[in-house]
Amino acid sequence: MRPERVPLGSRQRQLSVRLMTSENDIVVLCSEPDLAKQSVNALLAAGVRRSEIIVMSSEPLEEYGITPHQRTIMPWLVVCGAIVFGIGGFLLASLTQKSYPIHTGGMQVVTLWSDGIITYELTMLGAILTTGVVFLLTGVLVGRRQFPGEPEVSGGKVLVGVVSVPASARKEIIERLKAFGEVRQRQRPSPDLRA
Amino acid sequence: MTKTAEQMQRDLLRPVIETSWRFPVAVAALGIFVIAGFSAWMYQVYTGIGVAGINRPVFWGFYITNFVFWIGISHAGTLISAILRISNATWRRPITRCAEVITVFALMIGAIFPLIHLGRSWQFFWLAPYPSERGLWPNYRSPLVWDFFAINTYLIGSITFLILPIIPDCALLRDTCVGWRRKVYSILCLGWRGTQRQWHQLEAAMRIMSVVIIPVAVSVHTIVSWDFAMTPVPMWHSTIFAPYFVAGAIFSGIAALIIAMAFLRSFLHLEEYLNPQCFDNLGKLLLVMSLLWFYFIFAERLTTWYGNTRSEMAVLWLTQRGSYRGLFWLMLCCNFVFPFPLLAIKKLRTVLGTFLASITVVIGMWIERYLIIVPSLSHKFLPYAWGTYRPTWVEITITAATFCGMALLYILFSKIVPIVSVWELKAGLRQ
Repeated sequence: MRPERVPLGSRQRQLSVRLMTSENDIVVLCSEPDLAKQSVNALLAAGVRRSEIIVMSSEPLEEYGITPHQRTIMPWLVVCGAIVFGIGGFLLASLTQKSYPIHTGGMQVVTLWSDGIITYELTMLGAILTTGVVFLLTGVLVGRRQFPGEPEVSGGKVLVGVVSVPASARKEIIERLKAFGEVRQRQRPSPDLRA
Repeated sequence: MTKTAEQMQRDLLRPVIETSWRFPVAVAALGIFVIAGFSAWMYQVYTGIGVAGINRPVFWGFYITNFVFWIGISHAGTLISAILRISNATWRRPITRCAEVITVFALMIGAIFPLIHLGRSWQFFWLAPYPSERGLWPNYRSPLVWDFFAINTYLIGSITFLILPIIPDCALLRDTCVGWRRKVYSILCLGWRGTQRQWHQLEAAMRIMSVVIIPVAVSVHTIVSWDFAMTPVPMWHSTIFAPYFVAGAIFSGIAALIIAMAFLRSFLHLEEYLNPQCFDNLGKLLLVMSLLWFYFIFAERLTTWYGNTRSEMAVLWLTQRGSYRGLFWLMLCCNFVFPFPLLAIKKLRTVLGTFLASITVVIGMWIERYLIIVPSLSHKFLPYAWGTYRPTWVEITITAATFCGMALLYILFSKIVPIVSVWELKAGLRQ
């Protein structure tokens, strides 16, 4: 429920007012990935949408199939980045050789052998930089403030969480998850910044 | 005894969280040598390149030897980490980060040497392609310009390859540490939470990087070899140089990795993780590379001897019978004669055996780089232009400082980040 907008009086103007809506999450800390998988299945059976289930762990658990295999377009983006840098590298080498021609005694100014090496290196550089940037944007920086973890995850537990549980469904979900580990309810502030 | 994940985590984070008396002592001791090397370099910058031993006709000496040597050492990480990741070899898990760290720091150190060798190091940026009042542009026909692009690409790639898998361990340290350390690791982990989406993206990125970094590594040392092979200098102008250098780089890289692992195992008490099986496997790889290196040396020298070209035979005999014969036969012993029995006989292929073999290999490979460069330059085509080369205290000090600098960087790194990847080991434990 969103609170009323605070009027901007002279005192409030000095303050940076952060009005919070609160969202209720429920998390269960499972000691084993198998229990985490069972808890996810239990939530799905209870009608929770997959997009509202978050699983966190201190190691990759893809082989357990806890969440469905997610396709990523990272390889395609990397190929695009490599192509862009490769074309850029070739243009850099060939155009600048013509703009700043050295005396070659009649031989070619633009040589494909040597320009090929520059093009190759910049192609690979493009692939590397694209991989890093795409990973940073899609894997780490995006959404990092949305669903905080629990310290026990670093200790080896697998966290299975349900985001924004409506009050009506809370009791049922808690009952279903109790069998798989320690259940916690969290109120997560959803920031609504107003100056 | 099989360790649990919690015990493993405690053991691997202990070197980061706890500090023994040896750490400041090691940092201080190594730091003194690094400062001495830096001072020698500044003395050279102030006085001039003439304080180094390089002079007509040998214009490439210790600095270029070190450049090639350290770029070679950097191939450790690529081979061990990338190739073994692609082949999904489980024994790689404790050693990938050790190897990746060697790559990054060896590259950084190797890349400094062209700057030192320049003499007027402050003009290094002339090699970059940018419009300037000089009206000149880098000559893309030059292998030195290829070096600029190749080494920078490899350095950026290696740093990316190192940093990506460190992020989850930084998150682990964020949750484990308190105080200012927690704040630092909170920044370093970039908000990592360990969601399945993040793990999926990380693994995808690591797979891509593993595939991409291998051809880059091969191209880097190929291009470094072309600094020599593209010039018509006796015993340089050879098509075998590219694979010869790459094989030699991998050879020295594996040896450096074994040395680093042996020290880490001893000083950080990681015996259960950097176990004899790792050394045994790396020892086998080192044996294969030793045989391959010997094959390349034999093929190169046989071809030269058979061709009987006067200028090339002069250099051949100079190294095998002349003033460089001591170094040549020492190189052969260090790279093949000593390591071969230590690595080929299973009973001798222990932690100590592979460590000793690796020490001799590193020494031998440094000598090999020296013998590729200096004898050829000292005996080119015209006998009146033949000369000698004697390194000065400046070059020797800087060389020693780089070895200490490498050790120092390694020690500092292992203090900030777990030198054995915790999450990879945990994943391996489950498998």
